[in-house]
Amino acid sequence: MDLAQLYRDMQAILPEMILAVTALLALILDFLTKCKKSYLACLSVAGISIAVISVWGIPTEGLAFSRLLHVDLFALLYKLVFLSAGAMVILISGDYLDVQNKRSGEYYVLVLLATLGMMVMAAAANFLTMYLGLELSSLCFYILCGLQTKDARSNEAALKYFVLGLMASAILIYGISLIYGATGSLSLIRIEKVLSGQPEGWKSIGLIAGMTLTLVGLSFKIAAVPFHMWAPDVYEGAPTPVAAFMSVGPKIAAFAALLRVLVALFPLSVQWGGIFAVISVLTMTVGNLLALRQESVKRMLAYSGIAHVGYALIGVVAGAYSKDIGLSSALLYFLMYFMANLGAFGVLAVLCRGGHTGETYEELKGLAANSPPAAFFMTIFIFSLLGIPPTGGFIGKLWVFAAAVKSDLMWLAAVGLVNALISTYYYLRVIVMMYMHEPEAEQPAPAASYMAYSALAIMAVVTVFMGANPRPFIELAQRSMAAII
Amino acid sequence: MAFLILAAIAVASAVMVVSVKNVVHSAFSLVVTLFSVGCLFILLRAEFLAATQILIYVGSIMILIIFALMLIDIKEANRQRRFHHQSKFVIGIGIILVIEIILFIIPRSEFIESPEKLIARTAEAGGNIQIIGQSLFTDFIFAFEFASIIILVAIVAAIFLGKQPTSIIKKSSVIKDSS
Repeated sequence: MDLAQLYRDMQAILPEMILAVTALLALILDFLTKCKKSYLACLSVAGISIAVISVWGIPTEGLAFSRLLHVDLFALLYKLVFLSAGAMVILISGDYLDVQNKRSGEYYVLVLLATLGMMVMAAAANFLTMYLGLELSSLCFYILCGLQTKDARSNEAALKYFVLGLMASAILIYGISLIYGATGSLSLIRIEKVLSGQPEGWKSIGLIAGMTLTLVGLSFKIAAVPFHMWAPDVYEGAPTPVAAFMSVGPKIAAFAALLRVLVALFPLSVQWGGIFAVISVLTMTVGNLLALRQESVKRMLAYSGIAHVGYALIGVVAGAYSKDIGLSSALLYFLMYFMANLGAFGVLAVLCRGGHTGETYEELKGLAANSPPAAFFMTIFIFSLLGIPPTGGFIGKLWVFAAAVKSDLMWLAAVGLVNALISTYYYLRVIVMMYMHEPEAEQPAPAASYMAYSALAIMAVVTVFMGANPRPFIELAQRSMAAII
Repeated sequence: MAFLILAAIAVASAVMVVSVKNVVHSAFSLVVTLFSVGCLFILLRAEFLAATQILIYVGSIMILIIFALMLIDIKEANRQRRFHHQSKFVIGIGIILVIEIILFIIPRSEFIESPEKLIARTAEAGGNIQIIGQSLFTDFIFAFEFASIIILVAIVAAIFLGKQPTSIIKKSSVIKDSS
């Protein structure tokens, strides 16, 4: 390998390297200097900001590290999504960790490295790098879930996520090995070439079995029904900022990997289109119906997150018929969704203070009187999740449903629409609780710092901005999808 | 012939792992299984894989398992160890997997080189270990370095969980409560 090539490769992974260096620096500083933990938060956010800036300096085409990584617009877009999600999580988690007395240096290291893992997953051009990225981010999240080592629910969440996550990884690896057996390669580019070079009607049992198992493994990671059981329990037990990160980070990363795998396996689109049509309907319906019955807002958000995966999968099903429109609408859906969901969990994290977990509907009563900014931000996020214009969520839902209609999947769009109607009940319940009820008893006002509030404000502004001015984002999603097709 | 003997030993000891009553015995049967799989790799001329299989699985992972056995109450574990209601389910999955192997592995995929050709090519390029070393540090350098970050996370995680000595007691009492 010549040095010029190595230099170009290193340039292509500049954001990842900056992130890794920041994480190592945080680890060493925490260990050696016993500095104030809030400095580590600042360091991490600074590192992420530099990584975000460096994204603009790297090429937008090609492959790096002998075809292990893609350097394309798709990867760059996802890198920005994960970096901003990571920064927001660090900003909103400071107060929560202080309240729980759990501020530790490792937290920041793990959040940074989880972000790194997700970035590699979205850029993977090979099943090997995809799996390594997945494992890195999953390992970090197993520990982050169990951060509150003295809390039974947190322990339960960590253990449950660990055991089920390992099983999903095992299924994924088994599927990958069968695909390798059928096509002779782990490289997604090569697999696509081999498959599209085959005569019409060519099928291999191993390939179909491998594809199914790979999709099962990834469906677990995106929490699609029937592989969703872990999500509500894990989100409920995990510290709220971690739940916020988990509800967007690993899900979107696995979705990015899923899109790459589906593009590589496009010659089998009839098969995976059928699988995802069933999964999508189940995911939307089960997620929404179970969300109706929850008393804990955190669990409600977990189930509604499952339902959102179902909506995005409508785009994937449409992609089986019209590749371009369908898959790019699924990408756009998550682009529009992630800030709102992160923000909704973020408000819950802010509400956690002395003696209050801030997790049930009861505790949201009278929030508008108690803490107007928190209630206002929550309203914006809920509107976006609900899909009310002028928020990002509306554009996301509109495009996904439009993609289904354009691909002659009217029934699927109808199911999605009915589900969106069901979701109004539990989303509006949050708003009713906040604005139309008196506070039950004297509640201490949330003691969140300006850091958490500024993060919430940024997320709210971005959510509204994306909805009011969607054109650049739609074009970005289409162009990045076009880059990988 | 050597293959048949080794495969028979591997399968027989694998059955032992799940069927014997004593957990310690099943741990040692697992050693035999892993060792004979390692020998199968030698038959395939994959010396490096064989060495790693024996070093890592027979060596370190089995030691971990036996350490874990030392920490638990073996008599209690022996008593609780029978999976009554799961056995039918497990046998069902086993049959499905066997059918899958028959359907898939026996009609060989045309994309994989025949072993004879592969062995010849490997010998030409200077042997198994040299090829692995070369591709690890050229084609797969990113994956290789990235794996080191994963190991770093594992270390950080182990230290983080190990730092809190009180947590173990709480955890075990929690498990009793919930059951």
